[in-house]
Amino acid sequence: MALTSDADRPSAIARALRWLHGPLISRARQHLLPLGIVFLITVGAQIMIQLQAPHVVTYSDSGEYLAVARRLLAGDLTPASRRPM
Amino acid sequence: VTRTPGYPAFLAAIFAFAGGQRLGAVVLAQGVLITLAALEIYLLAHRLCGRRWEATLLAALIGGNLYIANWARVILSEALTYWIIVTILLSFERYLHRLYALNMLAMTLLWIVAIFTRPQLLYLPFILLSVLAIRAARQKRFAERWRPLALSFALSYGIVLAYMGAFAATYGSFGLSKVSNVNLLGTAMALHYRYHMPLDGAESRFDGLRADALAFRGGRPDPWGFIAAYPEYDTNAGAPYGTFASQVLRAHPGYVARGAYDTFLTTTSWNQTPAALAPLDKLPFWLAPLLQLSTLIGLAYACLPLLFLGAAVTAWRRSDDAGMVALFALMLVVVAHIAVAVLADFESFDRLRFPVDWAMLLVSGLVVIALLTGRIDLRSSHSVAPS
Repeated sequence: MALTSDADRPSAIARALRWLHGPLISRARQHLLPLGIVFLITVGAQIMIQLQAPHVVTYSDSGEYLAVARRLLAGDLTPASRRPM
Repeated sequence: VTRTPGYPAFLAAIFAFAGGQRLGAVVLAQGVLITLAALEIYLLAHRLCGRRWEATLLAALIGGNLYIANWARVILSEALTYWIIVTILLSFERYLHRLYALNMLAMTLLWIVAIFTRPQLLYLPFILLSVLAIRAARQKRFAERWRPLALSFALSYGIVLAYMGAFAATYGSFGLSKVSNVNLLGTAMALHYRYHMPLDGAESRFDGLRADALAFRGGRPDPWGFIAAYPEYDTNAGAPYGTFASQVLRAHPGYVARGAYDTFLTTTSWNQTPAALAPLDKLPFWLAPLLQLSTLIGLAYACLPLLFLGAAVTAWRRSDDAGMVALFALMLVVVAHIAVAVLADFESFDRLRFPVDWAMLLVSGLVVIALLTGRIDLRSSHSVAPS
């Protein structure tokens, strides 16, 4: 025989509410505003740059990365030395 | 062969998700990583100084730094590497507090990804595991803590060595990619151009390569141009010119040291605008001051030797203080990263250095705040570092 009945057990909602008011969540809550400020400033800086220079920057190295990425995407894992010229 | 697979795999994942080669999606993903990194820097700063608003100020200065934010729109591995290094150091700080296996596993996986994204980061597991081992020894707990450290070390370098072995079997050159050989050649060429370093000291089998390198006039130290002009040396993933250059560099340590020193000084006198943004005088009035503020990185690097020594001495004396050890680890990573970058540089030192700029800003910011608020009293012999 069970020592506690289902009626004694707190409901899932009550347990969730208790967890939301627990120390972990209250600790996390105090960082929400600072994190929000950091988030807005970081995203703001990126938007400013996009407004000033709205283009993607590529170098010759970028072309090499993109070429390998295309091969990976196509499932071609053959080493360069063994690929037909 | 030219590049390690980390960043290409990241690009391929984005293209698979975006349904084609959409560079806009890459910029967006990199912007997300840079934002995530700023949030993680807040958490790390809070762990180190214990004060929410000071951590907010520092993370906002780093997140809002236009030079850092600008890397989101550059199709290079910088933004990804930046986020990985921030996440590794956040996990490292957590591991100092709680020796959870999950934290060690996360760090190990992350620095393996980091090495395959940027081979320059080969130093990372060695340095951070050494700090953990020395701390354990100082606390007389090495016997109970060495196993996860040894396992992580073996796993990290075992995977890297296995990749290098497969690379050697395929290309006949033991390495991670061709770029490290190109960089070695670039460094030798740069020292020859800048300081007239003789291109001698290599084995006689490289006499032909040496004569061609001396005859090559690219107008600047241009290893890629040299390889294009002399494709006969571009075999075995660049092993011929990589071996030649490393032998020449080993024969002239004085030139290497002088080049490294001068390259480092370019950081402290830093006044460049972020790549591809307009020159300062053509920027809108509201952007120019922000850009000037972003050059604080140069000022922070000027304090590097002093900060490193201070962190080293304090961490040695107070090895029980996890915050202090984390601060020292940050400085150690910066110093190791800079040391590798100045040696590998031939024209893009600021790019190689970028992934640790945030750590320099964070540590110097923490020290400035601690000085201003009197938590470090320079007049007292009992200085209290931020922890």
